[in-house]
Amino acid sequence: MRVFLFTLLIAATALFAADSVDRSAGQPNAPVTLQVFSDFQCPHCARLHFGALKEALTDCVASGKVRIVYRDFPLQQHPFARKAAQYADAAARIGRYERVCDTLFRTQEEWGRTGDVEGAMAKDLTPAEIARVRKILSDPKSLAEIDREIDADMSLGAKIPLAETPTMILSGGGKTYPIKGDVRYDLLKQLINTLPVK
Amino acid sequence: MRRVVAIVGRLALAVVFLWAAYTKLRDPWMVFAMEIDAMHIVPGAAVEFVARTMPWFELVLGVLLVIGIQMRSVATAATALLAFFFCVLLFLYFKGFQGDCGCFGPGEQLGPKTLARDGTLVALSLWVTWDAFRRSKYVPVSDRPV
Repeated sequence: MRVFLFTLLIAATALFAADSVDRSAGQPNAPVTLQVFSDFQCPHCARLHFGALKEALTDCVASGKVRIVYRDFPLQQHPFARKAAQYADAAARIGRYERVCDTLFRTQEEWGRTGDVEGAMAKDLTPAEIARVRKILSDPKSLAEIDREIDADMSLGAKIPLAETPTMILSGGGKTYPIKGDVRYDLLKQLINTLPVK
Repeated sequence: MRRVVAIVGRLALAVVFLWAAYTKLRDPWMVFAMEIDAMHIVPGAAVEFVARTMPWFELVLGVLLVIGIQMRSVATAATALLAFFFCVLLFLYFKGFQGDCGCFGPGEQLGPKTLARDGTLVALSLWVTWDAFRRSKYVPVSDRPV
């Protein structure tokens, strides 16, 4: 009975993890949170993604000190940024958010010209995964949910107020710092280390 | 009357420098360093030095402007610094930079208002400097007749 319950729990957790919208990296109870507002068509966001954020993932996120929360902030001047965010959020529902973010930022010039976001994603996802993403986006209910999430991120950004991307909000130990631009990781790490965490 | 205007102008500049220093020194130096770094105009190795020293330089200038001593040197330094900031911001604005100006801590995006304000400050500082040099003999503010 115990084994059965344990197996059921593991299965339920796996099912939940697969279906839940996870657009974060790191432990949920990490003492420091770094919210990253970005736009998939923004070149500075791509530089931040492959620069400081990648370094953070292998360093302070891996050590459990920092949790990165990704937030969408598609700018009006980028016609396909919202579409890319929709695809990325759909990919998050199948547990492929990180990979799709990498793809979209790496190929932003390409799909930024044509608007073929799905074509860009197809390079790094399997046909089965693409089919699942397509299914999510073709379901009006799921699409509406994704749009609500994007709008919620944008409302949150507007309250800060946020006018440019990328913008990060670093918080921990009762302190909060807004950080703008594609910053260097060594500076970001030093700032993280000043935060009074338990 | 002119003397009163000169004192008011000098104190206004002092408040600006003291406020600029305070807004940078209340946060860890890395916050200002990242603002400078995002502008991509200061070499990477110099970013930390500038971020650590600039707020203290602004503080010293502000204090000296309040006291009113060595006004020729102090006003010249203030004008040079403000003119330098103005040129940098003008360059960044026309380059399409949309980040923080870094003037008074984080949160102020570079725009026409920033340029208008900084241009006004340069003009005010020039006038204060000109007034300091206009006097043939330097007299400390405390000794000047009102």
